This record gives sequence, structure tokens and C-alpha cells, in this order.
Amino acid sequence: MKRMLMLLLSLILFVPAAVNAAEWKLDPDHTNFYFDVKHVYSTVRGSFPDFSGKVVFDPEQPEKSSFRFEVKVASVNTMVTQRDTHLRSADFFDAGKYPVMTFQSTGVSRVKDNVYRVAGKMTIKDVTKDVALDFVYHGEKVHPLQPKMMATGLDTRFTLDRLEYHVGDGKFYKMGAVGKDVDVLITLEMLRDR
Amino acid sequence: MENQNPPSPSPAHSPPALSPRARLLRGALCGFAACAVFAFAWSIPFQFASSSLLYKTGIFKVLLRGGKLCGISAALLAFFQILLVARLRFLERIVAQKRLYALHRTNGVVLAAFILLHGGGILEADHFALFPLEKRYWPEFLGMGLAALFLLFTGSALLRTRLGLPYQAWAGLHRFSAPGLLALLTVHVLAVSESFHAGPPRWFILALAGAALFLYLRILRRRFSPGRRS
Repeated sequence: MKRMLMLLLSLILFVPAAVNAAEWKLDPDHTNFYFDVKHVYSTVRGSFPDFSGKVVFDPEQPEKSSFRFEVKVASVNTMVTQRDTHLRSADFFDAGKYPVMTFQSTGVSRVKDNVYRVAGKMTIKDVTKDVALDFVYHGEKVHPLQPKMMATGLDTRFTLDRLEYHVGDGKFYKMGAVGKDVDVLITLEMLRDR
Repeated sequence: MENQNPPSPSPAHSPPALSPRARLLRGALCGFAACAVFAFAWSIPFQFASSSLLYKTGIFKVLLRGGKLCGISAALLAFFQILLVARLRFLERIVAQKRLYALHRTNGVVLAAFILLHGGGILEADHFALFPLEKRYWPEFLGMGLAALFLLFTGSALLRTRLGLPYQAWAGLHRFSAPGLLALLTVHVLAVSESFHAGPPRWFILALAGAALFLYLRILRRRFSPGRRS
């Protein structure tokens, strides 16, 4: 009887933890929010190195997963400081008024194999839109350099129309100088204790 | 008790006077040279415009270009400050030493006004966009620090008697920190805008800095040489 009770108690205490999706910490040095945008004929590449986020992800139970990212607009970096100052200004991001871009997932599902669709709300400046991002899951393993940690990786690429998010009023697009379609690449490397 | 007032120039050490005609001619030549220097400096935001100007239209282009012109004017006036107090014989034969010192003080006030206009124009052109505290913006932060120091210089000069600052102490600090400010100003100008990254604008600023250094060393030599003029 005592054994049965102990077994029941163990099940109550430990099974929910086992079925809960794991919370991962973003590795800031190996997580990137990149973007590419056309400038006349060339492509300008930039990134937002200042971000934070919370990712709960279980590839076996995607419905229990959730993603939240906050990206500091002022950190925009295209390797040209004058251009970055212009991007922070009211001509583009208006970083003083809208300092953060956010993404909050509303649902995660498996599309096929290692591809997962994360539906959610993306907020840039004063615009919030429902989007669905397809993430490629690269697996999970013991971190090669930190044996006490587990590492996982997810990538997504998508294109958004910056003018739909009021990033610019279209002046430079009409001039043929700066494109309106922005290719975004988000590469996440995340860690948790083993 | 420390002296509270600036020393008066000694008439005994004044250079021999020129005839009015010679004075006018030399004055015109100096004025022409100063105009040529300013004309070249003011041509920089047009002839050697940085790419940041390409992305501005309408009033914001005017503000950015105006801000750059004010900054260049402030830099030139800062370099001219040392010329006015260098006790150059040829200059003192055209303009009396007392008037040169008065011009030095007026120039300081105009310089401070140009600094404020420079900052205002440049920042307003980008809608006062915030600068994140990142290392790569060091030329901009250096400029902000310099603006504060130059304004402190001017403010302390204007309010010296009201603040009760002893002249000798103030003048000593002023004299020995001014070259540091000019050195930092040179670094700021050369680093902050791509207009000054190469070519004639870069040489121009380096030539001004070199001339200022030469004048400052000349002042020091005169000051610390035995039997110097007061």
C-alpha cells in the first residue's frame, strides 16, 4: 500500500514536468535577427543585436510551445552609422516613439518533418499584424562546448512589406532608392540545463 | 592676492605703426585670405557632400546642410581663436593687440552660437533620433562632449567676474586646455563625417590643426623664454 502511494505521488509530482515543453534561453551571441533590403540594385544587410525573448518549445508537443521576442529598434546596425541614425529617425523606425518590435506567438503546429509553423502577432511601430512563420527545427543535442547544457536551433526566413508596418512613408521606395520588401532571417540558438 | 583683471597690453612693446595705406592693404590681404579659407570650408558640404545628405529632402536637407555649415564655421572660428592671441607681429601692425583680444572674446561667443546651431541642425534633420550608447558612435559623443566644453569655455569667460573666478587661474586653465580642445576637435571632424575621410577636406583640417599647433608652440616658447614680452 505504501509503495503504491509513493508511486502515485511520484507520478503526480514528476509526470507534469515531463510533459511540459522545455523553456529555452536565447544564446545572445549566436542568435541573430538579420534583414536584407534592396538599395537601388544592391542589397543592404543589417541586424538588430539587442533583443530578448522567451521560447518554450517541444518538438513532440508543438501545441504546448510559445515564442515571444522583443527587439530594440535603436540597435539597428547596417555597418554605416549615419545610415543607422537615419533608420532610427522618424523617416523609418522612429525609435524614440516606438523603441521595441515584438512578436508573440498564438499557436505552434508541425507542418512537416522538422518544419514548424508559429502563428502570432508581430508589432512594428503602431501596426500589429497576424503572421505565420515557418521555423526549421535543427534538433537538440548536448552543447559541444558546454557539456552541462543542451542546445537547440531554429531558423526562419520570411519577407515583409515595411510600408505595411509604416517603416517609411514610401518616399524612398517611389524614388527607386530603398526597396519595400524586407527579407528577414532569424536564427535562434538556445540553451537549457541538461 | 591674485589679479582679478586681464593684463593691459603694453604700448612699449607694440610693433611700429604702419602707414594707413599699408595697413589697409595688409588688412585687405588678411581679409581676403580669411574669406578664401571660409569659402573653401563652406564648399565642403556641397563639393564633398557625405551620403547622408542624399537621403534628405526639403527642409531636412536644408537643416542638415545648414548644421554642417555651422559646424565647419565653428571649427574654423575655433582654429582662428589661437591666431588672434598668438601675438603675431604682422597682425598686430594691422589690428591693435587690444582689439585682437576683444575679437578673440567676440569670436568665442559667435563660435558658441555656431556650435548650438550645428547640434540643433544635425539632430533636427534626423528628427532628434536617439543615439544608443554604442562604441561605434564615439565621434558623435566626442562632438557632444566638445560642444559642452566649448560652451563651458565661453560661459566661464563671459561670467568670470560674476562668478568671482580669479583671472590668473582662469586664464591658465583656459590657455593650457585650449590646445587639448583643438586636438579633440580635429579628431571629431576627421572621424564624424565621410566628407573628411579623404581628399582636400581632410588635408584642409590637418593643415589648420598643424598651423594651430605651430602657433601654440610659438606662444609657449615666447611665454617660457627668458626676457619674454608680457
